Amino acid sequence: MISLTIDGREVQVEPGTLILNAARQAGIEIPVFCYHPRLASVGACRMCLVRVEKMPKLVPACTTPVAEGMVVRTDTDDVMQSHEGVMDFLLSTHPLDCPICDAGGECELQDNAMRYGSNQSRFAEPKRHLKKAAELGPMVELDQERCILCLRCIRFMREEAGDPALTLHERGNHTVVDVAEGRTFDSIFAGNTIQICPVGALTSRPYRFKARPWDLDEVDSICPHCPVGCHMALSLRHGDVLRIQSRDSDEVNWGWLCDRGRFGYGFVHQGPRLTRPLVRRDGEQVPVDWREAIAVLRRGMTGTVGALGGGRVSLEAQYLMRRWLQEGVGTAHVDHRVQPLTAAIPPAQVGRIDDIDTADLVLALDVELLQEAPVLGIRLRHVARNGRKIVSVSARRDMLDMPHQELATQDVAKTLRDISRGEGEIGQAFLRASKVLILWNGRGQAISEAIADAHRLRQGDTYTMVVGGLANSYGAEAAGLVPGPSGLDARGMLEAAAQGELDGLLVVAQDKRDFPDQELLEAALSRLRFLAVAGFVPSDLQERADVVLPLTAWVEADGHFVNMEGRAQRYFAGASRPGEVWEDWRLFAELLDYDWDYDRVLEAVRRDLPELFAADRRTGGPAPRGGYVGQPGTIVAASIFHKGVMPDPLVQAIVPPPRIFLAPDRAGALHLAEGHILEIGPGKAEVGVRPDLPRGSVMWRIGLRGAGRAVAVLASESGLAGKVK
Amino acid sequence: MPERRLLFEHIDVPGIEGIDVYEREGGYRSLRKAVKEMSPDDVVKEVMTSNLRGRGGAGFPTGRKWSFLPKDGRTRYLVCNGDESEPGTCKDQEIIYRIPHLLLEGVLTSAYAIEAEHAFIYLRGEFKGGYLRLGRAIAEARAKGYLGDNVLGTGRRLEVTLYLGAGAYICGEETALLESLEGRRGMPRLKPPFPATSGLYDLPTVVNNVETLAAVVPIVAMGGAEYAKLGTKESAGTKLFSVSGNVRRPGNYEVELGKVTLGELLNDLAGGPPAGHTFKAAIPGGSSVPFLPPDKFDTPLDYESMRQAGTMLGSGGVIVLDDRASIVDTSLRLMEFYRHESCGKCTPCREGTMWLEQALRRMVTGDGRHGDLKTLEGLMAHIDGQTFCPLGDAAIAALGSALRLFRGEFVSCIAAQDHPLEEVAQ
Repeated sequence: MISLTIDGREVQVEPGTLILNAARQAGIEIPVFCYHPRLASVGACRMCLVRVEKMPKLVPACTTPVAEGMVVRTDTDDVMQSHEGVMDFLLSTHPLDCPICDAGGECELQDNAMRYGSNQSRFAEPKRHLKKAAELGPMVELDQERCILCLRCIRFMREEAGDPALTLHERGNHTVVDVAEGRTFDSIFAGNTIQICPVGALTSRPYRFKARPWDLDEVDSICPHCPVGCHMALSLRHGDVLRIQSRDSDEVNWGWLCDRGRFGYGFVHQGPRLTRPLVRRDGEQVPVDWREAIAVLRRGMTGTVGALGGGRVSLEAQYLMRRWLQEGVGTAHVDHRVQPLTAAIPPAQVGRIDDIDTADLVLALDVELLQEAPVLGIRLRHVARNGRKIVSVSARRDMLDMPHQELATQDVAKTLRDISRGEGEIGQAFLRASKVLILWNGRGQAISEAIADAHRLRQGDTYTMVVGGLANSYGAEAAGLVPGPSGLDARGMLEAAAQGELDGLLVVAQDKRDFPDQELLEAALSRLRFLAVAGFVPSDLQERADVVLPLTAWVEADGHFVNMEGRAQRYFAGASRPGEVWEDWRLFAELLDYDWDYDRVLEAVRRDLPELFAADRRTGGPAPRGGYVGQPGTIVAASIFHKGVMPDPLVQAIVPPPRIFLAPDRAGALHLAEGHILEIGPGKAEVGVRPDLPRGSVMWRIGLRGAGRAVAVLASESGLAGKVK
Repeated sequence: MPERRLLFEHIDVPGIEGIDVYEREGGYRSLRKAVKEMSPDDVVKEVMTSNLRGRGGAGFPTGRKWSFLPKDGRTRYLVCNGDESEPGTCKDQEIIYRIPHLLLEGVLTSAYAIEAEHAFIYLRGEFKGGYLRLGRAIAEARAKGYLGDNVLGTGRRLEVTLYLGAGAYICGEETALLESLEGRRGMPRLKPPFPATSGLYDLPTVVNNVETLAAVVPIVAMGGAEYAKLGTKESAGTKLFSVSGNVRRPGNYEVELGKVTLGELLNDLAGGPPAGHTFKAAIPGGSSVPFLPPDKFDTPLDYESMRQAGTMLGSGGVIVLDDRASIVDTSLRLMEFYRHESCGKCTPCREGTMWLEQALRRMVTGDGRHGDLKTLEGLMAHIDGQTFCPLGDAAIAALGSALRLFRGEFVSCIAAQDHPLEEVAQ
């Protein structure tokens, strides 16, 4: 520890601590603009200058590390004058349009001007006029006049997101922030710049002019869109979610969100919702009360029945759902893995997100981070920038642009072989490393086996995280929403139903697009005697149901999502509930005849699944399971941009257009080229040609309606006869 | 008072820009001596002994700068700073355009000394002609084996890459130069790390000025001890001075440091003020240093004497004003330059130079206000010592001294605009 004195106070801090943070630890505030705790310091704004004894000039507290015996003063006359000077300079060109600025009330320039500025500006010259209300991209609006050039946005995009979409233009006093030439600001991390902008220069287009910050209620929440489980805060007014911001968390998201998460709340209030229980009568779905819906559900779930889904509801609901299926219905046919997910991590070897910081080797096996767990990519890139080794083993390159990927490879099969035998460059690096973290999308038996081999081969710390799946897939696995010893898995249930061997099926928070094999699903639906659907929004699956059970969206109820590291994370109710929706857990509590409130449910969950709440969660990995096998020659990928049961008016603009990707040889054989349009079932998809795909293969993403069939045609030899326009 | 020409010894020889004439006049002997007869450390020792100080403006001892390179086996780079943009300074330009081989020999010899296999010469964007000349010089030297994979048959490798910047004063600041050289916007980097440990492409790097590297050639030729006998103890050797403004013979002059006063330079070498006029003031070290009034013109031209006189030797760019020149106009012109060249990274420099320029412009164009002097001084106090890099301090050095030395001119400039004199003077 280093001892120093700040304003006469003795302070002890870790070596390497910046004066700024040493002061913060001692409760002494030093004002800043350009400093951001998650970005490398630049020392550009000069607001944090302090006096350090024996130093000739004032020094920036945000770039100067502490030293033993250092004597720092933050309250001398010259420091105060320096504050006043910087405020004077910044305000000299600032438009002071606070009354119509979205940042008003949560603006660091306002705050610092109150505390450190003078009452009057000496600036008597004309103000500059620059771009205002410029649409930089679908989500972000720029006001150059308000910008104080702290560079946070530029530093974030360049250094953390690896996408220099924003740059400085011009020079000196004419310097402005703008998108790089030829770009629009369409990065999926763009929204972060809104939140880290200290003023109203970068504002949110969806939130623009919606509210004043002092009128908002803030509620802690967790992102429902991928298994990273980013910490977020809802901003609500009159029970409506008006915006989402990130919350900083050392363990998980470091204060970042992707735009899918930041803007992914549109379905809650803006689109149609399921608001009342429905029961099919004479072929029509009609509204009924809950009591009747429950009764219909109970009656329908008799005989040979099963349940699918659950990766999108709370851990509490998953827990009660499993108990009801086991104790109430008595079926072993249950599977949350509607999407292909192998999830075969030996217990006690589940990685944690912060292992990224300490592992000396990170192996990303066939992972498309930007599609499935974007925010994880920021952390990976951060450590890679500091020289850590990140190895991306993937046939597909969908990582962030990352330095130090020396060992990146595209030959997955060979690399897996090398790793499981400790051969070759990667295999050797794998053996030598003292701590390895493996990231895997949870799909594919070959990778699953290679990982098991890898765990056996290495003596040192080896951890694995399944990056794919839904926000609460881990919870579903842990709660036991998997087939019992004699139970059928997802595919098995659908096949049984298609054979007429399954009477009833409950589907929880999934729609047709979630299912990779839609022909099989259709065959199953046509033979089922009884279909129950619980969910948030109307869907093509819900239209087919005999009973429909409307549930709360995550912002409307308390609950936990269990993220990819097995960490149960609490989110809180904030938004008002539409119609007669029930909390997701209440449906199953009711079915179990438990007259429980939320606290009682949580108590039971904590008692029965303590490992999810433990500080050291490494002890609680899901058990190995059999895997899903896709159609031969096809690669099924996933994406959090899949609209499905959480369709989003807000994120439409950043949802990539539907595409089907072909290896070049396959595209050539089919006479298809980049940009061609395929007519598939109900919609259209664009052709993408990707040289990184294995020879002859076709890749598509879950969530593309009608794609399953089209892909099967494209991948087959008869594909040449496919309908190509 | 004669010049003492070391760097400019052969500058007037016709054809000296070509390698044949340069060699005939003794060129490349220092490089040959260094790589054939001396170890790299020997060369460093000679430079240490010579007491050579950086000629770019800061005057940091060159040998010491070289000694900061860590001995850890990492690749090292030598970067030649040819971004000469300081107003009033055109000495490097003359070397680059007229004796390019002298610079190249200095670069190669110094690269050998610090054991860098690769040197970069960074030229300001406006030096297009110099870029072509140096390019030709490099090709000629390569053909003769002075650089390449096997320098003069020694098996050593020395490479030189020539790079033309985009024309920015800030790129004369060494870390901004490195940013620009790496292909980014020229803005100074945070220090530490210093270039010696983490410079170009994060590798140990020495950045030296053109004149500094050129001086290594005579140092190796005559030996460091001989060179150190020139000039004074603190300021060894010769230095180029660019004299511009109100003198009869403006131009570059090479003199022994400390042996010539500013007045001697201006009167004896540069021919004195134009007929019928007298000197009013001079900026001796490029526009980034304070003015000297004529009563201090007897100050010797060396680092320590200039400092004692309240200014700096700087780059040796001497800007001379005679009795016709307006100090307020001059201050505005200089501030326009700094406002234009401020990179925009830090607040006080970016906004302060703009504000100062606007206030000075008002005073010059007849809209001076009561209280403007206080504003100028207040703004300078907010810039002084508080900017990210030295550009901010440079921007106010001349103005600050002008306000001290010629306050009356500023006062009358405002007072002429119908403000009571005594109020303005406050």
